Amino acid sequence: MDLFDLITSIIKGLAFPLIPLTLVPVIVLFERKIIGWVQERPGPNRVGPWGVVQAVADAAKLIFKEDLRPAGAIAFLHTLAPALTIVTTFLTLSVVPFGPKLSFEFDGVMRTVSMSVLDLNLGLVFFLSITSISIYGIILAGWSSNNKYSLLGGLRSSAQMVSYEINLSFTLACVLILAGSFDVYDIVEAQQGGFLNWFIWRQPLAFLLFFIAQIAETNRLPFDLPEGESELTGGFHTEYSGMKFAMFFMAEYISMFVMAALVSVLFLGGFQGPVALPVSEWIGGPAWLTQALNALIGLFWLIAKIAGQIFFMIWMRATLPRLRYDQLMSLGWKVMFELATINLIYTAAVQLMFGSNPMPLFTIPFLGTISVQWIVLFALGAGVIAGVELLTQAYRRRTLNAC
Amino acid sequence: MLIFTYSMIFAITIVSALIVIVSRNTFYSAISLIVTMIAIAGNFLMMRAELIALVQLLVYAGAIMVLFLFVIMLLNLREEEETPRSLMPRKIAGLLLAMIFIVQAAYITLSIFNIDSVRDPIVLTEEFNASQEKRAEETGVNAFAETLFTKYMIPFELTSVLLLAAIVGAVAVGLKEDKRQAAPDAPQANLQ
Repeated sequence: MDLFDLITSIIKGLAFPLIPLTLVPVIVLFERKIIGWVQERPGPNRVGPWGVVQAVADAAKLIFKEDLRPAGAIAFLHTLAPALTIVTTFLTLSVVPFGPKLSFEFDGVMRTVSMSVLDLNLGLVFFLSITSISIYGIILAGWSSNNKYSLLGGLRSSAQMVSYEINLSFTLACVLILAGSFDVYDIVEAQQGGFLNWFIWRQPLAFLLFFIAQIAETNRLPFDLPEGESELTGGFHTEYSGMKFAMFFMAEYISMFVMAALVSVLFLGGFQGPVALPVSEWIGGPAWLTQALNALIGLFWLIAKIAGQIFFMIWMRATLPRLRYDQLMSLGWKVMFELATINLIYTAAVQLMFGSNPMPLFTIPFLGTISVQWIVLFALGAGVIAGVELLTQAYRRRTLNAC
Repeated sequence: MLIFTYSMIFAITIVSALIVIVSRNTFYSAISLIVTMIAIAGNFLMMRAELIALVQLLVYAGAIMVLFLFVIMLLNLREEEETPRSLMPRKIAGLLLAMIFIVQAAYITLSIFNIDSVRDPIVLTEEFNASQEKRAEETGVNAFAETLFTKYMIPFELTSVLLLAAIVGAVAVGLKEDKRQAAPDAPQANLQ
């Protein structure tokens, strides 16, 4: 730890959290607009043109709202819970690589700086452990509020997050086996050279499971049982108002951002574009210009991938109904856990047998990196759709006959 | 600076561990046990065992303590419900265990530090740190996995069998209670 490390860590620690912080109002606005669009209504359109200032108005309202604490609540824990939630969320952000590594000459020595707040060689283990700690914010919020709805919400969330965390780590392990490292930069590097090398082609099942598990982990619909309004009013944050509620709210959106960033890093090539274009070489110029350009392009691609995923999550929220609690648990333990375990064993076995070379038996011929899992998944998906279609047709015919 | 960080983490570990025992409220005990677990992870981190520190966070602080809190919240334990029993056998057992622990701890510290004479603690920690830095390179994830799955394979597997036995035991206990409750109105034919 010298002066260079100190300066760069301070800059990184201040700059990178600003990216999701500034994006939260944008995501909230887009969410409300997209849900309005899906449900054929305009969404927010009063405050500013196209409702742009709505999020700012909401934030201002939350800041000036009275901060209530119910009688009998445990004051210390009631204050600690939102703080714990948002701190752990920002800690998970610190492993996300926002762009390629930069190198500077400082004090006559070439130094490299990673574009993630923490440059750990155990980055993904760090991410998993901080995610598991982040459950306490919700549990403590539920316990300290002295409210049965809060308590039930906290209980549900702790069970849900523990269950889905196992799926999260099992699917993550598949990517770790492919890349052979815990370092996020090594994982991105292993997916170099065009979009056909992205791990989504080699691990479609893991991608699917990870995506579902991360939605459950961030408590988004259709898995938002900890705060299911119809049963639990507000769930664990029933008794929170003002900025404390805003902290939970921001933490949810930031963790959406972080999870989407992680899915991009693990399965979608991270900050690399779909086609490896040497844009900076075409423009030329001094070394610092090429580096800045590369960093900006990396940031652009990462944000683009995150935006696509967040759109997909909002779309799912608008389309799918909420699961019942027992359905959620049986999905997590009886379907996803088995699939994740089988996939982990499959990946490990294939990797042991064939190494990182193209795997002759386990990929589609002539399409190098694409796993045979795709054929199975497509066949299953088509089978399910056809089955549902046939069943509904038979049902319709029967009801028609009955008439 | 280094000695300050060390002593902070040690102090947090010991104080929170004491609160676990002293506190009358089960929920507060559990919370300070979480703090203890996180502080122990910090201890591992100061010993340059990054992987073990993170796994400590992931498994103990993240998963096991969540289940502890879950049980406490579900059962809503209160201090009045604790039945007073004779403490004499517990005290004797506690003393015995404490003595075993102290002997073990003394053996381990003496064998690591090799204390011949009283030395400056700062120099000692710096030396220890330097040796640990060298060791950290030798004990990455690969080396860790290799020792775990070759040298300590049998203890590792035995531990997992022990955990399995605990799960089976819990299920058996749960089933037994279910049967006892269901027995009065369950028809005889169903039991066969």
